[in-house]
Amino acid sequence: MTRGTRHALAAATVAAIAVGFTVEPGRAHKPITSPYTYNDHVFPILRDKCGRCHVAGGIAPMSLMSHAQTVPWGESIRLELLAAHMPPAAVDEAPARFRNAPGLTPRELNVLLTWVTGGTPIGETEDPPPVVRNTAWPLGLPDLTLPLPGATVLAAGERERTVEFVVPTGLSAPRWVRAADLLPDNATMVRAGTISVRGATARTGPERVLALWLPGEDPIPLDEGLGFELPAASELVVRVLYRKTWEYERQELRDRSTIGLYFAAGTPATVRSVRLAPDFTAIAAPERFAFRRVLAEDARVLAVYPEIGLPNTGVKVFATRPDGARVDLIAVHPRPDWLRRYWFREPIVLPKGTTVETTVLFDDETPLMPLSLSSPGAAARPDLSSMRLTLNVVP
Amino acid sequence: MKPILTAAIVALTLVTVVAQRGTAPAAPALPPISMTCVHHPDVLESRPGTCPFCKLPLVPVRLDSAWMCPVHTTATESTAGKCRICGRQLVPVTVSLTWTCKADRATEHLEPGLCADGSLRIMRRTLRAHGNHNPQHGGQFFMAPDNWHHLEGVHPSARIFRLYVYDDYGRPLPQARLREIHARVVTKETFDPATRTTTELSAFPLRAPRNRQYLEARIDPSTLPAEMTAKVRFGAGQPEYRFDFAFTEFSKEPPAPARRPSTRQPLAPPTSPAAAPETAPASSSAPTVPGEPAAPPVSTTVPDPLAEPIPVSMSGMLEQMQEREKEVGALIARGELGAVWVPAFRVKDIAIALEPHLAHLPSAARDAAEPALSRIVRTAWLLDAAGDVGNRAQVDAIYAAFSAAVADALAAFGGVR
Repeated sequence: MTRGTRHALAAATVAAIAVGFTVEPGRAHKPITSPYTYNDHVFPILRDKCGRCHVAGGIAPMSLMSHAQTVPWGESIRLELLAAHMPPAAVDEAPARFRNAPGLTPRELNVLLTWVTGGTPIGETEDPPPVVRNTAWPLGLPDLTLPLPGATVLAAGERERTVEFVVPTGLSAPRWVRAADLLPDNATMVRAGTISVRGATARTGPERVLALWLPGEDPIPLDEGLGFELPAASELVVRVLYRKTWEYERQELRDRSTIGLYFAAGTPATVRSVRLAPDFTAIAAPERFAFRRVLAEDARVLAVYPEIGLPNTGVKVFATRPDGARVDLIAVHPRPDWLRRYWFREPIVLPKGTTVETTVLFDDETPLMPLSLSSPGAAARPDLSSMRLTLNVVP
Repeated sequence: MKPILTAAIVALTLVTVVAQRGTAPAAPALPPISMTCVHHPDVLESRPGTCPFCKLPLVPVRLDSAWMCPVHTTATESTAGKCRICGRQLVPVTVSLTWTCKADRATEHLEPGLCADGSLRIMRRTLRAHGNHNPQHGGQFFMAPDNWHHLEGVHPSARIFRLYVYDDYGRPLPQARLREIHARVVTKETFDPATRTTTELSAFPLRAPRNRQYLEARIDPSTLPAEMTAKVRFGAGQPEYRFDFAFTEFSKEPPAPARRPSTRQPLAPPTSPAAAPETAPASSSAPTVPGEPAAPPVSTTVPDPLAEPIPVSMSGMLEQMQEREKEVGALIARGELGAVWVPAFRVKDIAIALEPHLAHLPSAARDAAEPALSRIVRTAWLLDAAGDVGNRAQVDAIYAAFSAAVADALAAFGGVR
């Protein structure tokens, strides 16, 4: 064998080894210990509980609608679930009391946590069908649609902006609204919205907030015989929080959403608001803050919502009837930008003279959080006195 | 000879073309190829063979170091820095390197090169799982919150505390890396709940003795049981982590294994619940819950302590829930933080088994029971995470929430026993 032949053979051997390694590579992965698989157990939960936002074209920065899309976010999912940040704005107690308190059941929570820590297996069954984001009005075509007066453009270097629009209704006579909704033109940037009737807000009076809009949440229409009052020639004030996720950094985004109103028949009972806010009677302590209000009239409480969200802050609202009976209304951690109106499944009857007490509690859950979720040093304490809540009532 | 020569020339030409086109951007040298097991990634050998655990043939893998966001595993970089998504400091991780093509992402290659369409293969970094979480010197073992360092506190005698520091494969850090660590052991401290400040009364610096693979401190003579806290900063600019150790007896170095088939350390004998984490919490729970899928078999020599079936009767479930909750408290009191997940997960499994019974509760009891079950599940997982990193104060706080949730569940279901 010549010197040249030996070199050629050596080269061939090297090439063969290289080719051999490319044929059957080693796939490193976590040991599979989860009995739950994506296709069989995880996907149905994600689709039903997360799929309105975590879908291609949704507001969330990533889709979780396929195994390949979900696996890279395993650790992030684990931490969000442990911190109870997701699903957002769930109530802390008695979720069955509400019509719209999205949350995971104990089993669902365990399935997801077991899967993300147990090797994220895909399963043997067929991949689930693709999920397409719903772009229609959830309640059907509204009785009145009002496009926002202008488009909003988030420039390439801009991350978020809140824009307030004044939208004339053009109504020649008063109407009552059973539901109001917002249909984003560009769902990747519409993060939250408030639809109100223009005018000053009273401590007690007709409710002016028609909707607290959140992505992925269908509006809850009022029962028959109830409505939000919309005076003739009234104007709507629509405040929209636009926010880009990191996925759209350095991209210009544009939106011109549309408001939809669903009218109630006839002249129903007007939904009123009763605002709860700290006053001179408020009790302040280092880690809690409480304030109360006595109802001047009989009331059926339909819903409750916080007007601002404070980080690391829990809110509990309960009522004490004149006969001394206590009724728990809600316990929630109202997070900024995730303000929701919580609708009771059945109205809660509170007679005149009932005391409604709100306790605002600096969150003692911070010490529980995984260290990778908490910033070094003590968490900043919010100004608890700025908390406001509103009850929606009818006589 | 002619066909061989022709083939060799063709192959050589191919390799040259691939090398010229595929390495155009002057790629750095590749890390070496190791052999590993597809089911036991902590098995690492330098030559082909079979896995000592499952006997499957080892497959090649190319391991490398990288920097990853502790939360966003997609944010993996080749150098230190901050996460592009959330700004957190990146932490060092071990990854396997593969290359794929856009048209066929399922096929992974161990080399860069060209795809069928002429484009360059795309490099993919895959995070390597943690392997061995067992103490190697008879002490207590924790994983650091940075998910990379692992520690073992050893108290071999009344005046000595040692801290072994490992990487994510349980390999001892070399001396040079040990010397970058700033650490001390605190044997006495007070905590003022009003100001939430801790005052150290007795603290001793941990230093790396020459030619030793640990940090050591000479402490005031201890009496057993002894509690001490290591406060460790893994490098300049890094956060300080605390690790709470509790010793009921002096640590004893385990006898050397008769055989060491791989870089994987031999499993500790299952003499106490502390050894149980090898089964991995995720092997857990659901298997024994009626109607749930069984966990896939996990190749390990440690028996699964969660294999015990859940009682069928309501009273049986509630009794076991109460017992296991107390067991969690007892383990914490003994400082066996790494073992609390075992009874905590049992309580969690019972909570999940109770979920179908919610429908039979009166509405007031259901209002209390449903969130209680959710809190049990969540705090059980939090206990697992906090126990792993050995932070006593955090474990105590979570246990308080866990106990309260269990008490609420017991009260709500108590009426239907």
